[in-house]
Amino acid sequence: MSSIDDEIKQEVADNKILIYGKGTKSAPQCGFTVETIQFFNKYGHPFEVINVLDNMEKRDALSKMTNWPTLPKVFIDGKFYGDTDILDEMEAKGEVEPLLKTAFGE
Amino acid sequence: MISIPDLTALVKEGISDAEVEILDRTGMKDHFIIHVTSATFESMDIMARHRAVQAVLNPAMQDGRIHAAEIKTATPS
Repeated sequence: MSSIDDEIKQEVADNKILIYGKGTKSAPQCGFTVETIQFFNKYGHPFEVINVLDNMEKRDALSKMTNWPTLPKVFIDGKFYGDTDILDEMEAKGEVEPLLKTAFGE
Repeated sequence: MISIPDLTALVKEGISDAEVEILDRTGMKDHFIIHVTSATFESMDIMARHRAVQAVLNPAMQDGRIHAAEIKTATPS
């Protein structure tokens, strides 16, 4: 278990909604990261964006851990949910609201 | 770069009954929106569907023919 994996596990545990993306919350560098930030802004729950744009080692560790090739990578309540391609379809089926409610213990 | 017919064929190779609609977002043949409709998705949750499409696209993602793909999945209505 490399320190990078531990670092990721800690970050995922520390944030109920966590987005690994390109750029930061205030200065996103990629359209898909912007879309993901806008997606969670609608719900009003706190979320964190961790910039891995220039951290190839961490990006590789994340891709291996999730078996998912692209960024952004979203974790909710410790579980991996891909990106807005998946979250949009889950939202259309009404699956996101209850998920966030349980995550924030409402 | 990959042509839309080649990209359609690539998807169908992996998901034989797939109905595929592709939009080239920039005209540069490497940023796509890909809609895949397949009956096989009926038994799969949304994450599994997207993993199936990601797996089929992987060769073209790895060698750079596809730079970015926004994927939508659906079952035949």
